[in-house]
Amino acid sequence: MLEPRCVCPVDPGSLDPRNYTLSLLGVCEQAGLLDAGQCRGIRQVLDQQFQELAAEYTKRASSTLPRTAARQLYDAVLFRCDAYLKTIPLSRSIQLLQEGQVQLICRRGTECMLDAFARCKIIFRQVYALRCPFPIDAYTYAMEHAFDRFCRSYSARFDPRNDCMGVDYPLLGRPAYALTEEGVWFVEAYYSSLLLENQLCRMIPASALEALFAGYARIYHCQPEDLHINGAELVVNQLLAGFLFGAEPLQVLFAEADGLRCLGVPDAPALTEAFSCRYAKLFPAPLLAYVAGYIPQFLQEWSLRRGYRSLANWLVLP
Amino acid sequence: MEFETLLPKSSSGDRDTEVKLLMETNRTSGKYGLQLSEQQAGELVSAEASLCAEGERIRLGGSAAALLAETFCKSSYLSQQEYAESLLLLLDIFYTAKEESLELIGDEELVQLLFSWFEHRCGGSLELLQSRELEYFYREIHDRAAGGRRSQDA
Repeated sequence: MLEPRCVCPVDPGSLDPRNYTLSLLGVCEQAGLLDAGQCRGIRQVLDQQFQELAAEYTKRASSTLPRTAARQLYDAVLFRCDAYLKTIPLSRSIQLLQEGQVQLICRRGTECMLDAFARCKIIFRQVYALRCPFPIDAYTYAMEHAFDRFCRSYSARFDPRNDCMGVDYPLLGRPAYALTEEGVWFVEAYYSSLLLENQLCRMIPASALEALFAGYARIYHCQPEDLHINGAELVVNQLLAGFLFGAEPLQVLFAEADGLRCLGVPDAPALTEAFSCRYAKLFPAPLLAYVAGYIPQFLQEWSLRRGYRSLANWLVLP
Repeated sequence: MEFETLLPKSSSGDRDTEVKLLMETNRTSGKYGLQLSEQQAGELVSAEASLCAEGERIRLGGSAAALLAETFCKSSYLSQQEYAESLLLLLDIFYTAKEESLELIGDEELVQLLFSWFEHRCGGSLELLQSRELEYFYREIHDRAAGGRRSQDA
């Protein structure tokens, strides 16, 4: 039996993902979904949560708090609310706010963060087990030190947005902090991406990776240790280029690449489909999707380079 | 809904309650021959609110002025003539010390420290308290904090 569907009165696109609860409250108030009394009630509970957090923060030993710290603590309360409200349907979020269930929202938000923290540990163990022999300091830091710093210094209670890792190692096609997630979710997203990248790079023999890095360093007239790049991007660029001129699957080093000399810029959807068909049996689905997401960027870089010589300044070619 | 409007204010919002709280300290200070008038209590409450506003601090509850009055009334160096004025100066010293101590020290502990230095090292001189004892104290706190940061980065 079909159930009647009500159109949600709030446009999800109008909500700020970084300040979800606050923007939802504002939009609901404007749309008349929350009246003044309900807003006051919500505000009261948020204030109580803040007061309790501030008392914990000051160990109940201070009658005042710097405004900067107060901002951070109130933001922590809202971040906790965001953590839960972003996981449930918008209509349910609105319903909970209308019912004034702010304490429940905060409590569930804390549980979400604890769950995310547990997942991070599992993911990191897997990432670490598959770590690759890259000569990149930023990668070594991400593997050997960053997660420790997160575990030691992260304060989910008082400063949940700050992941404390200070990672510099970029991901495939983007800088580390281009990820929109924050706090424990940033850690989860970052290491989930690195897990896929490590899985990919582990499919390439270590000697080939070493030669690849050496070749790339020669392009930039430096040592491999001086490179600040994403290792998986190096590999994926080679795989895609190799695919375009008919190299074997998973081949990253080429004895000859004449097929590239008169190749135009391929079509992104066609390349994505063909590449996915070729690698569907070799890559797990999440890895395939991750690599396929990079293809438009690869083609954009390709289109900036005309001719073999220009491509050889970007790819490791004979 | 703007985030900044959610934050509590620099003043507690209930001036009469604060004045009453401060007047209650006269029960203790009276034993030492020191009393605050209602006007003086009002001035201290206003001064505390101004110091918090200037120092960008928000109030969580309680009153540093009352804590200072309860502690410093026992001093052998304060007389009725300068009691209120000394408390005003001590309020300023207190909030400067709170900031300079990087929020590492609670209100009561800080007031006890200030009293101890004022009473036993500075001979009742607020100038010496500010220029000597507190300068040493700030340097120690900052050195300790810097050493802690260095070991964290290591």
